[in-house]
Amino acid sequence: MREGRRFAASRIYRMAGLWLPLVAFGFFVVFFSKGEVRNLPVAVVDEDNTPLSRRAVSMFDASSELSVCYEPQSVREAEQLLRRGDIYAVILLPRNFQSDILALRGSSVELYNSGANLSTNGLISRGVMVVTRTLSAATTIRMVEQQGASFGEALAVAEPIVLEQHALFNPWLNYGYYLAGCFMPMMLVVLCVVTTTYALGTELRDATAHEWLAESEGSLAAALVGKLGFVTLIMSVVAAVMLVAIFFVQDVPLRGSVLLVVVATVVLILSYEAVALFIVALTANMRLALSLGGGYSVLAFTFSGITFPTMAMYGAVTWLSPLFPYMHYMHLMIDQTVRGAAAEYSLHYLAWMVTFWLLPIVAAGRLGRVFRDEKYLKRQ
Amino acid sequence: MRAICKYMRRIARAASDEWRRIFRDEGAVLILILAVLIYSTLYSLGYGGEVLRDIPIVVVDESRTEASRRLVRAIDASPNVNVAFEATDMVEARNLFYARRAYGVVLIPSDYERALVQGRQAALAAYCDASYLLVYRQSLEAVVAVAQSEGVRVVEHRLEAAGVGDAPVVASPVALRVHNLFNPWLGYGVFVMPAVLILILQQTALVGIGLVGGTRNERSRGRVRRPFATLIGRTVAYAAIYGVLATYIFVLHYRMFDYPTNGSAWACVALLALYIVAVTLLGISLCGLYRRREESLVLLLWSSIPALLVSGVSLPSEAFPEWLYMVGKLLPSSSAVEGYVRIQTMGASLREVAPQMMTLGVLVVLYGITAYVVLRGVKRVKK
Repeated sequence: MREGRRFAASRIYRMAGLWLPLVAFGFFVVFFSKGEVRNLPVAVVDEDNTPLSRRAVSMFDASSELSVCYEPQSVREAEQLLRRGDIYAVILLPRNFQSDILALRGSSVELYNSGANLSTNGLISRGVMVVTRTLSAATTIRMVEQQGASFGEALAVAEPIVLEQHALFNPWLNYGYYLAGCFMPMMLVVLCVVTTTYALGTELRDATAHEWLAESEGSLAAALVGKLGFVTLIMSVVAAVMLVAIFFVQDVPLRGSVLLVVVATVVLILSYEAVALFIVALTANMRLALSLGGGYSVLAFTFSGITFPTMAMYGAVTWLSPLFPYMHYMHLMIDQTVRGAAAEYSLHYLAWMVTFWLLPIVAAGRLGRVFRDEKYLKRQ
Repeated sequence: MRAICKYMRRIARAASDEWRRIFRDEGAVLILILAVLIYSTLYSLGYGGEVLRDIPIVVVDESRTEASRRLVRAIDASPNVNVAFEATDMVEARNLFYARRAYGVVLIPSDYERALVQGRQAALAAYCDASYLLVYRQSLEAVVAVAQSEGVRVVEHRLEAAGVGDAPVVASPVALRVHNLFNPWLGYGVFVMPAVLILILQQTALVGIGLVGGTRNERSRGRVRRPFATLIGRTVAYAAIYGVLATYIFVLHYRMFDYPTNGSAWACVALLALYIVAVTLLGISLCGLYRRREESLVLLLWSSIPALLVSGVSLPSEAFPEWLYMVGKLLPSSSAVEGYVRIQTMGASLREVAPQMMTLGVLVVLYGITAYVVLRGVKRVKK
């Protein structure tokens, strides 16, 4: 009850606990509203200018990944467009492209692809590869057909091994699924740590801890349950909005257990509350606790291996990644949403998250001293 | 002349006042200085592996013939993937996959060799994990490349058998040669860290300046008599600190982690100087919002990821609504990231990043005005 009044009275408490997370979720929903990335601007330098090279240019333009926005006269001019940020890649069709191919000398498509942005790099190289392969196979088929083979035979000759590609769990390769599902929990985590630290820390800052403990007749445990219970309630409401945004607005598929997703989300909130409590006990200082807790929660993203996988990290760095509940939560979420794995594959992640609850128990003695002893109050 | 000297002294006094405030406040030192060093190091270490190699995959070889063995060896030899398991059936493969011991499955059907011998098309199936996009791209690319080169070998054999001359050329008449510019190994750190480092400077500066400003508002003694001189003095104070930090990051830290330095030093200095001033002025403007010192931390901590996204780094600006990209330009980091990556990674000249420089210039003026209004406002309230 007291916590509810404090929440209603404090502008910052309301902001961190309720409004900011909602603003953040809204941001991601808008950000990913466009869906797939299409028509990335590229330049084609066509030095050949023959029917075959023109056909290649229109094939590049027709590919869903690419849009041929410029046709500069020289590679030099194209480089300038690249540095100015007007295009992401340059495709060069060399002189004698058509005549070399028809005379069985072979030719090549040269792709100069900017590595400064890996997401455009990947999409463009995929688009150009598909077009080039199609062009190459079509040419082979024509040549073989000219020697008197049927189309079917020619096709088997041109492409003897077919690879069926199955993009498991995310066949549309949708960035929105992928990124919205990990950014929104990140926001939840950061603001959960901030809110918990703020709720606890203000008792120290304003030297109101005695008043707070008196409400629960001097029992710290009861006082903590009351306070964190309220924070958990607020955060659960926020988390419910988040899950709705992920599954209903972003349409991320939910192929696994709904129950497990909900339980894991609540466990995640409790784990980060435990971490925040631990940091407050350790520092006995709200500002320091906010800086440390905030820094810690933000770092989780890098070390979770969501964008850059942990298996590629330096050996020693990979040991850091289990130290963040977020990482376990994300693996569990990926299992239970897009992958649709059976629950038993995800339960150990839940266990990992629960172990973070031990932190405040370890620091229980110090926690009691911090909130009871005058010398820690209003030290800032 | 004396008036100018007096004015300069006033500015100097405001700057040294601000420095004293900063360095007496452990919290501010922690955020403004230590956090920059800690974050830059930790993030660079996190992405230090740069490239993903040897992704473990499972092969289900139902063919068990000479041709299928050769294919498995070729896949294993590819640098991006590693045949970690050979499962007897798809059920076993799926279990390995769900347990995250493998990230892709290649199925070689039982009639693989027969189809090739009989001149039909042989079908392979690759199941790659798209729930982690980088893993997906790397593993699929590796399998596609192997399937293609094996295919070309088969075509050459067939054409030679059929008596066609120039078999290699007919088999693959149009080759694709890919040149990855600026980041030849497509390292992840090289891609993302320049932007992250620029962003670390902005986020720590905004929080740190807010911490000092919030403390001042808390004590409500911050009487600003000469807002303009004070503004310049404070800007100098923070810009000097961030000048030193930026030098450390973009010279020493860059060397340490081998990030690309293809641009001219002067272009970098010009862009970063404008950036730091814009960030400082934005930070001073935001101080108008805080009543207590910790408020900047609470309000700004979450904003790093959205700020990184609207700069168009992790996803190109074509991928999200254009109006959001334009609104994002209000953050100094958006233009600075774009400009800096283009100068330092891609070797652009100052003229080629003129639009970004221009935007930063506009932001300096805009936030200069808001910061002035905020400082003057404090004065009005006090009277």
